[in-house]
Amino acid sequence: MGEAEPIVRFENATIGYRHHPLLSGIDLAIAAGEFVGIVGPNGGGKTTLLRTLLGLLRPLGGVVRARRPGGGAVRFGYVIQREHLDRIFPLSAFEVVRMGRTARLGLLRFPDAEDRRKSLAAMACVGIGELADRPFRDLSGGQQQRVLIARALALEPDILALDEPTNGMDIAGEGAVMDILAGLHRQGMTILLISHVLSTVMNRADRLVFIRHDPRMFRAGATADMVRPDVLAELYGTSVRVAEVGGHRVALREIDAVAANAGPGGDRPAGTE
Amino acid sequence: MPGFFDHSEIWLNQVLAGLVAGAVCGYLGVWVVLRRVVFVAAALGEVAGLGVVMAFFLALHFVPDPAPPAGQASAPRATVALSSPPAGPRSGRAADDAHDDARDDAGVGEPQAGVLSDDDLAAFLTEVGVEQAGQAMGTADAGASPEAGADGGAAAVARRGEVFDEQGVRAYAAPPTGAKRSGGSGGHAEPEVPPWLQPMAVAVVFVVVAASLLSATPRYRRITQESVVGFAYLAASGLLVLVAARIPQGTHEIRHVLYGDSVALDPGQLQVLLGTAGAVALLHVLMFKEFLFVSFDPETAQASGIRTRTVGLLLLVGIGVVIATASRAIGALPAFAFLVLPAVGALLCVSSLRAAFMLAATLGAAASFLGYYLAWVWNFPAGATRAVTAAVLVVPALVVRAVRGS
Repeated sequence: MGEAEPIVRFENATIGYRHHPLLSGIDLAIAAGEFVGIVGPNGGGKTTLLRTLLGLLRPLGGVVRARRPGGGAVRFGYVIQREHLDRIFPLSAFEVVRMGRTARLGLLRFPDAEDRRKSLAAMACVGIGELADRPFRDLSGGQQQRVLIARALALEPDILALDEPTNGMDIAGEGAVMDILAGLHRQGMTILLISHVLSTVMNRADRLVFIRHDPRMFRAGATADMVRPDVLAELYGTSVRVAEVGGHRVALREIDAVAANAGPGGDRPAGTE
Repeated sequence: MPGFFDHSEIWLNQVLAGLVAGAVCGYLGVWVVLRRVVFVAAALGEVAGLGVVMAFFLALHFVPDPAPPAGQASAPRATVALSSPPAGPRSGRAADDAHDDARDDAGVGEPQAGVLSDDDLAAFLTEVGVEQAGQAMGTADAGASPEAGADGGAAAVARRGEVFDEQGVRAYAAPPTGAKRSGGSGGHAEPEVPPWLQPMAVAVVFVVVAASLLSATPRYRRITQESVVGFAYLAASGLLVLVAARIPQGTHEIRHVLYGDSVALDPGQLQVLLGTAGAVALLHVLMFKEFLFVSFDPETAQASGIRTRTVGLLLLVGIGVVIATASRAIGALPAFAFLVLPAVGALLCVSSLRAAFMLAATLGAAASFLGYYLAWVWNFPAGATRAVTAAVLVVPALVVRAVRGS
């Protein structure tokens, strides 16, 4: 954790759905400007943790606070899993991005030229300025993801929270999205990124949160401390080791790591991926 | 069509109401289709119908009879209005039969609830310039009197059976006092139905409550949300028939509400529809961006601080209130048709939300007018003709999209 005053704090929190607690005793603090990756197997409680932080779910116990250091509520720029969006809406990319201004404007106020400018600037920031008039539903997965990131940025958030933003993307698309997030982080944006793919997160995040519902596990720490074989084995329930390929770390199930050492074609990062 | 434009005094209010309802329902239909709540809209339509029959039922049982004027014997009540309700469960068909039987018992010339007597009707039709109206309307079977006033509007009315049936014109001519318990020309005092028991008011209350309950329904793990809506739909439909079975004099009104067979329309109902449409339009102007965000991505909207449940409820209540008022004015069948079909056609044809709203509203209004006109030309029930017309307008778009595979 950084030295700055945290803007997000879980104190002995219990998360879950009504009558169905998933994890309890959660203590976590996130400081402004951090890049935190939340990693765990599917169904492990990552999205539940994020939804609790965003206020979409109430904590079943303990306290969850999200306050700016100077006071006032934290503004979250939430990037939902794009699979959850309904593609029958005939909206342009720009119209989707401009939705991000809705909460800023408040009730009974109409978007004006300033909102348009900020929405277009957010699109330019993620490199999709030329897609403004294209139908959202006709865009590729990677382009749609960028539109959703731009929408979150249009809100001018304190924290950018992304839920599996690279799901279903090819390597190029995933790399492009992660480059955008790294760029935003360098500019000082606080980023919370959920992924079930450890390799996607551990090369970018300052800190990692490992979360697993069954058997229960919640652990947070600096990335270097978290990607140790013993910790990963506890998270995934199998032997995992981290190898470095071309300057990037990849997580490999032990059997794959053995195959990778044996020769070409055996370096597929399975199990943890 | 000869005669159609010569008798605008009969259809003008109904056509205006149809245009407004078609346009507003067409616009709202885009939200209904995009939010995938077509079944919810259908349930709200049934609930609105239930509200109407409940208004009749409550007026029948809870509005006290006025004392007859001094020195005058108590006027004979319409048999239908005061007849004991039939015992045991009745199907909708049985309710209709009971109503028909009751009509036979009472005689068609007998004053009935919510409509005019023969004398008043004749006076009304004469007043609006329809010659020989009294003879035409005074017969037991309006459709069997083509000889009565062959050149007049009443004759056209008489010939057209369902479209221009006797009771439809009676209902049109009746003063806008809502549910009543007795005829209006017997020389005896009318029971005053309080505003809160007016069918429109009760329907709106029912729809608002139903919309609130449906939007607050918890998610069940073992059944789909659609099943809960189906529960509401079926419960409202069944209750509607059951309550209607206890108020036989209301079955005709109910038929008009359900199928939209009314030829004409009371100006008061047109004004209510215009007021409702204006209020809902204002709501959508002021809250369009919230409606759009909450409809497209409720989770992100909530995460960014928007009260999604309240916004969603407002949108649904607005739709429900329009359903209630449009159902009362033009009938539930065409209102529901305009709430789905124009939006379907528009969303198939265009790729922008703004264009979809405009096209759907235009298609709704066009289908309403064209349907009413065709009903006149071909002697069909107006409500069903409007619904079928709206469906026909969608067919080309369906075919084109099917061929293109998009």
